[in-house]
Amino acid sequence: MISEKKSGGAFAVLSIMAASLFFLLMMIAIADTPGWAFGEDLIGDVSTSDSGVYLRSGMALGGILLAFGSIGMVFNGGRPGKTAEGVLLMISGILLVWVAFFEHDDPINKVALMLFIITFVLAMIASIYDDFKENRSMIYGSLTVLLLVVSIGAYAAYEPAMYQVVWIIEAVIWVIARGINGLCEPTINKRK
Amino acid sequence: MKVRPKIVKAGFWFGILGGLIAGIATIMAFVPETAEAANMWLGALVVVLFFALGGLFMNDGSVSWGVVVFMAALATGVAVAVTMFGAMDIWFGIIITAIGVIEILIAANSLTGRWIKADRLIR
Repeated sequence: MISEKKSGGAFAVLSIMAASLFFLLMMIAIADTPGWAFGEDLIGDVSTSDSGVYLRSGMALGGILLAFGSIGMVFNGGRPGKTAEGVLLMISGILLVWVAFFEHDDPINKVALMLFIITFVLAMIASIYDDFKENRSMIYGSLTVLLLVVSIGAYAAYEPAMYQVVWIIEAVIWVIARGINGLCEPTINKRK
Repeated sequence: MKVRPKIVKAGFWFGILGGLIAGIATIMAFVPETAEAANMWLGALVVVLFFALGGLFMNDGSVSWGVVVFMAALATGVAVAVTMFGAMDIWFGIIITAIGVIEILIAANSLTGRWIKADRLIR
């Protein structure tokens, strides 16, 4: 018997909250840092300033919510792409918490940040597979392709201070889009 | 009997239009003083992608629906990336990106999907 219930929505809301809260706290941290120039200074410089507590809180809260929000993706009724996306996003959420808790000059911070970027990109690729498989959600899949190609372009075109801003905005847009996608599609539970 | 929907025809013509505009932008990116042609290759990539995308909306197209949508997203993403790189005038980049977004919406439309999966070979 296959039953359909719309239970993925609660987890999807957590994903939307994760991205929104992180972005809001990052903007507060930037606004509270005197002398920080857009496109010239790194976001990492904010975390070492007095206002860094906002950014770190944003990363920690965002990471926790992202990890919990991805639970809805893992339990989806046997879709391997979605499961991979959920697991990778869960790992990247936990890694984001690590980035928040370790000091900027700590090697663990750097390793966690690198692993976070890798797992996040892999989650995006897994979501592309799931979206295009059986023509599930073409618009969301094409948005992910678009964001990935633009992020490569930004890396080639801009200095680190600029392309990391582009990457962060893209990541926020993508997580919110995945949350909306999760809200729209029902979770299918296969029961014997 | 022709059953090619209007939205698919629009997809074809928007692809051609995007390719032509990208072609003009590519030519205008040439700097005669230095004969710098490196940026033109990136513009040419956008031209090729948009013409290829337009071709996918023809009856003779051989790829699946997913590939058409993927190509539309890829062409748009490359257009944005090339504009960010400065290889194309920003206003041309904005116009081509807008055309690319329209192409994504056309490609992802359910009418286009039905035509590709069922009616494409009917002339």
